[in-house]
Amino acid sequence: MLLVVTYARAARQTLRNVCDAHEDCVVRRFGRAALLRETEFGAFQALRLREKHGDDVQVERTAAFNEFADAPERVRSAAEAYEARDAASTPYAKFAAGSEEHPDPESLRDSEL
Amino acid sequence: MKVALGGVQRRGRTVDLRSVDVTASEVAAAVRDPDDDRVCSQRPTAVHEHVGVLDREVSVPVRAALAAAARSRGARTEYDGDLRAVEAELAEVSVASVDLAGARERVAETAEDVERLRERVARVSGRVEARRGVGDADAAAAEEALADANRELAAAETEHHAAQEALERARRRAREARDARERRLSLEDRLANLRRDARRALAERWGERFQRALAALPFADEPTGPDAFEGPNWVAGAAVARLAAPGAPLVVGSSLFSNATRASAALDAPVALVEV
Repeated sequence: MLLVVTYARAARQTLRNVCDAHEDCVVRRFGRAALLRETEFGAFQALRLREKHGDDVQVERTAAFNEFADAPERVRSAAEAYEARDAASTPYAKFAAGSEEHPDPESLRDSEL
Repeated sequence: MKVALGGVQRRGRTVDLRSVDVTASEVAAAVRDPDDDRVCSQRPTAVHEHVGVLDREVSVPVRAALAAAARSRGARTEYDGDLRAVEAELAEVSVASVDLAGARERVAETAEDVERLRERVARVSGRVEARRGVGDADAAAAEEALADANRELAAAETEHHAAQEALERARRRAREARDARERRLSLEDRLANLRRDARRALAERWGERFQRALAALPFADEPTGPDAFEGPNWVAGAAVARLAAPGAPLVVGSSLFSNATRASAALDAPVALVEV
């Protein structure tokens, strides 16, 4: 999908107008951002916004996240185990340190997906 | 005021321009432009933008105009301190412009080059395979063509890599610049909210004065507050004009008043009367 984020009042207003006028190309709206369908029409609207408002409009292309293909098993199981922890107040660093199998937050931070 | 328009020269607190072939908006533009010496007068205050021109066709945002009128009379609100603080903060925000389009285009172009040269290497290397063992002069030429193609491919890959790195650097800079834009946007939103609150407070506090101004005009039968008023919009505009200190002359259409002096008395302001 195309993620359009606006950074100025005028750009935000134009994005709202585009979303109101072309609901069919909008997947979701978030205040000053929106996800547009990945069609040439979606690209046309995104580019039109950028043409009009320059750097006040950011356009990115998003990809679906498949945790089974995109994230290693140790990350999935760490997330699952952490959410099933006994004490809600335990920070993840402490939780990982107390177990053998879960990666510490630093190593997670240093590993690109 | 001093007016020199369409060959006519007038001077005074009220001027009658009904005989001059000029529109209300032209006169108003001349009033507001300090460099336009066709009309010389005092500088307009902000409320002049709302009620500087009065005829039956105007569309005046009553609350905003009433608030601007209150401001022109020196009214203050409890939001003013915050307003000034946010304005000052906003003036401090500077946003850099980062050109990502050039870097993106370079990445796309070099990627195309790499793709094209890869295909060429594959083609040439197929030819080399076919002639291997035949041992003719063509085989040597094909080998040479392959070496050429590989060199070009390597160069294109290096360039593509450099373009990608340049784009990555530009993206990082753009991200930082967006932090500033984000900050500016939230300050602008805060400023807009404060201005709206201040307008509401002023319009409420000046509601009674608005009512009195309506009563003093020769138009409305039933004077009310600004929100309850259901009469023509231009009447509300005239009431706002009456209680405002517009600074510069008001440009009034002959559909409202047929006498400049009477218009000036009713609106309590200098008036230029124009034919509409």
